[in-house]
Amino acid sequence: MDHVESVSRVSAAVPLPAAKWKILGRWLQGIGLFLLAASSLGIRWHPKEFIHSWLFSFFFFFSLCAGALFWVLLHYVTNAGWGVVVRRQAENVASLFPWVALLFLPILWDAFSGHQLYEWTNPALAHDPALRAKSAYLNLPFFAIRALFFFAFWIVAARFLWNGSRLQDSDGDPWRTVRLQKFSYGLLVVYGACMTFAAIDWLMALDFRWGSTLWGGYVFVGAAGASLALWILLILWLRAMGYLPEANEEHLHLMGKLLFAFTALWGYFAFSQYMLIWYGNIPEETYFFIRRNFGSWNWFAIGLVVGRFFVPFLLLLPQATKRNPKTLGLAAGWVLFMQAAELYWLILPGVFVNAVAVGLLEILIWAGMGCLLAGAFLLRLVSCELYPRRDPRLRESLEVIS
Amino acid sequence: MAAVKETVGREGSGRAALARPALVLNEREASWVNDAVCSVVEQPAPFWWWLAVIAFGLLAGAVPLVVVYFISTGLGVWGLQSPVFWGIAILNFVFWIEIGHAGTLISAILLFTRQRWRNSVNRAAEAMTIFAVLCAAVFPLFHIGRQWMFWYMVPVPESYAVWQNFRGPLLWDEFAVGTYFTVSCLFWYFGLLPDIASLRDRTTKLWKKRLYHVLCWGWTGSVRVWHHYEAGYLCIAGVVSVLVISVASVVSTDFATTLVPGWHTTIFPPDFITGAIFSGFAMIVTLLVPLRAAYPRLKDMITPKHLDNMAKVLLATGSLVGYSYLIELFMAWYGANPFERYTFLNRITGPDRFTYFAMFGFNVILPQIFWFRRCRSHPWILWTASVLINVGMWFERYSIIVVSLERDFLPSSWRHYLPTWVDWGLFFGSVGLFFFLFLLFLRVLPALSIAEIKTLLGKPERKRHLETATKESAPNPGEQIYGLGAEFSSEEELRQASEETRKKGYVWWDAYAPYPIHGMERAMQLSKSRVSFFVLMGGLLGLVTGIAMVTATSIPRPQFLESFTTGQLQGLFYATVVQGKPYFSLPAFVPVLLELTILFAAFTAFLAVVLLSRLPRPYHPVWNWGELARRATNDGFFLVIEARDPLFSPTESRQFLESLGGRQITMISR
Repeated sequence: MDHVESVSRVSAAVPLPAAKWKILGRWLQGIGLFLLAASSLGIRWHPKEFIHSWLFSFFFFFSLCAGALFWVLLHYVTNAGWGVVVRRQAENVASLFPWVALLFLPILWDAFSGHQLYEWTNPALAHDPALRAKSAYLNLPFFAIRALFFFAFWIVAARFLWNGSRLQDSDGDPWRTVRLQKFSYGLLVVYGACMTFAAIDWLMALDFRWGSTLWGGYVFVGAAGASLALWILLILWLRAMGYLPEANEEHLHLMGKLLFAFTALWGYFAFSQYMLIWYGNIPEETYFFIRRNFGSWNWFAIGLVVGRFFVPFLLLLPQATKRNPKTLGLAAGWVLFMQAAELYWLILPGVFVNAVAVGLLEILIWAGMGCLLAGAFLLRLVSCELYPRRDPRLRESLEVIS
Repeated sequence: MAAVKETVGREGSGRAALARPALVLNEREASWVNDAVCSVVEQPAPFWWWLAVIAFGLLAGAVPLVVVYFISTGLGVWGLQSPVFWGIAILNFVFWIEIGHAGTLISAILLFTRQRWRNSVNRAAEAMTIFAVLCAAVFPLFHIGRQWMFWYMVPVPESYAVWQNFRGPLLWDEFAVGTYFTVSCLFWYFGLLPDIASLRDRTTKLWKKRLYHVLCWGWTGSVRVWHHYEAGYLCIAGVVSVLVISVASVVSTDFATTLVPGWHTTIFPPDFITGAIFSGFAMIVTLLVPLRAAYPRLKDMITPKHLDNMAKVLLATGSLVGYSYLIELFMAWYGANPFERYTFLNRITGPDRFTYFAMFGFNVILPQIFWFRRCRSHPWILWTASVLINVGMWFERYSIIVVSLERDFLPSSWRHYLPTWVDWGLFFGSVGLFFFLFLLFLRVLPALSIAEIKTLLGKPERKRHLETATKESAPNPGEQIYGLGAEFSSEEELRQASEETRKKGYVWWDAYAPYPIHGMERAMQLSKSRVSFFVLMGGLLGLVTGIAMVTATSIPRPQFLESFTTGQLQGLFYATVVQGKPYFSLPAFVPVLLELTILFAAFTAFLAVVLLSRLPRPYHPVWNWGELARRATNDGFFLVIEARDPLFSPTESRQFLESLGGRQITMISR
């Protein structure tokens, strides 16, 4: 019954300019590939900076995809109904994982032959006692196998969820939702493990001597929040263009509340990690922060505290700003920007040891990956419905009251 | 045709599998909810209650006996010996404080995540929180040794010109637990207001009526009050959500800020939170399953769906706790610090290894049975698992606290810790105290939240059968008229009537309902409640107060103050160096600042609701209408137009109310 109603409703929506966007998507992908190719010249002159900024951009876009997968999984695991109208866009973002996996290849290549990024991959350190103590985990074959497993899992899981939801558009079978829910419980468990060890492998192991038990949670919370911000921006954009009038203020309010919660959660995780290390004051731990609270990096760090926590927290505190597309969009865009800033602060001190610096390479690679993935997203967008039209929970979602 | 039928059947069965189950079974009415919940309080105590209360009361009696014994003898009678100076006293403190967390979590965080099933279990959970915190408070209070100097921990100006060290986690604990206790009590009491009014309107004894009347601040059920009340409830729930997270985190910092191997780990704050939710939910299940067995009528409100949900929470949090165990284990190995590695090896293979396996088995492996629906839906399987989970969580703290301390950095001082009968007496006494208090609570206050359950009853259009005959009760001559009241048969009718009344131009009128009705604000065009603004201001006041207090008592006296302030004020500055931390240590001040913000915000919320809705109301003329006085907190929906309204006229207003569908239209005397 629901889908009949919603079909009539959609006739009020502006149809997607599918043909135009297909061309636009291909163009964007072309531009992205060109930018990435151009930036790869940097390997020759600044190999270290190149691979660090590659990791920075890679991890930024990876965190958005991984976060989107989390939101889809969470939707099913919590038996949620409110998000049906907006869920498809998260599924679309998550389904870009094959592209993200491709973007990982240079990092893998560097681990095996460049040794510019991860110090532990350097054969010169093979006899370092600190490394030998953990070489059962930090060794190249295992590193590659893990990465392979993570990506295989993410690609398959994201594809499975996207496909199940898309097939429901055509046959409207409610059992698909039941099955997706059943699988999601197990998938979320594996997802948690993958996310934790990906965060350890790709970010924490930048410095193999340093470790923090909260690291996986910290990286995950940041990723989920940033991905949520992207999700909000996508919904706002589709809504503003009139393609998705079904997403109303109630949905914005709910997503705004979630963004608020994840802003607070990020603040909590980041503070817990920082405070305990600062308080304990053991040299083997604190130097992680000392490196990043040094010179202009210190101002950067203070800016992160203000920008990543206080600004969105205060912005999203009143009810009105969460319901207003303009202020919500502002907050979401800001959170997305801050996610990039945070990753910059985590990764780039490896190159720019003494002071904050932004170079052409960082911008080129980031823009290149962004164009490539934005193009892929556009192609994905026109390949399926804008929202799950025949989801059994659609009515609940359309009528939700925040 | 057959294929079509099959797909329809498939569609239907799929939708049935996804249907949201009713949260109150058997199509119960609002008045039934009142009867079912209040009868637990009102009817004479059953035999088992006396039996249980005597048994647990005797057990609780161990607490004062043991306390008198060790205060008069000295703390040496505890099993504490070097190097284990934190034995099961702090263990029990952590155990109880974390059990309390699920109550606040259900009340606050599940409210925000729109888990409506919480409405049926939150009251019992909140009560449990308070009793658990009380039990927890027993341990540090007596562990300090010189109990009469407890007040040294309270910042009192000019108390020997000595100030607390606000950078220390144990002082954060005091602020966190103190705030937690007061705010939890406040939140619990706040939620109780409408339900105490229900009790008041049901009771026939005058002294009880008076007592309840005072306790519920003269609750009328006015929709204008509900409007502020709901806003206040949300605000308190908001600050309480932060509070519940901060308290478990602060407790975890008692350990994590030290350098003891196995304690100094960054995952402790969130780990303690998941552990808290886990053990707290286990305790709620431990309490609720017997409760619904003892009072079968409650089974319609604490349904199998509730048990199923709680089992799922146990599964999720148990798995998260398992995640923490595993990641701690991994990082101890990965960190390659020999002390860390040894500590974990000792936990797993040392003399107390059974505590580690008990913790892992009961907390991580046991909850995995909840992947199966059969285990989730069977109350007594769930109950047994919950009891065992609580045992497992106790052993978790044993493994973290005692086993880490038994083998410190100096092998010659290693010693096996053995609690004495005094330790055990205090622990089992606290268990008795907890259940004893909960049993008392059952007989004194509504164990389920009546007003909130009524919002789960289902279709707002559902009508009550009302007598149509209007009683012609003309007021006696000479008696002043307060207004004209009418009853409506459903929530929906009341909403429409309110909208019409407002549109007609009436100003002095009000609606009365037993629970908050969605959409009433719009129907009555009530402006947004200002409670949230006051809460924000209160929170800021708390923050500023905290910053002033904590900063001044930690930094050296600024030079510029000396010229124009008195020595008294200058005496507040009390610079001490502790642990080589800077005087102004912002990261270490955050916990205290946060707690003070929450404390002030919560109290402002309560006060704002009380003042904005003019609540201490010893007398209200609407109570002269017996029907309203009896049923406004039960199942009646009323609308009263006051005589002072410019549009009021006894005949026209009566006709107007009749045209809206009002029944039993009555003149209410002043």
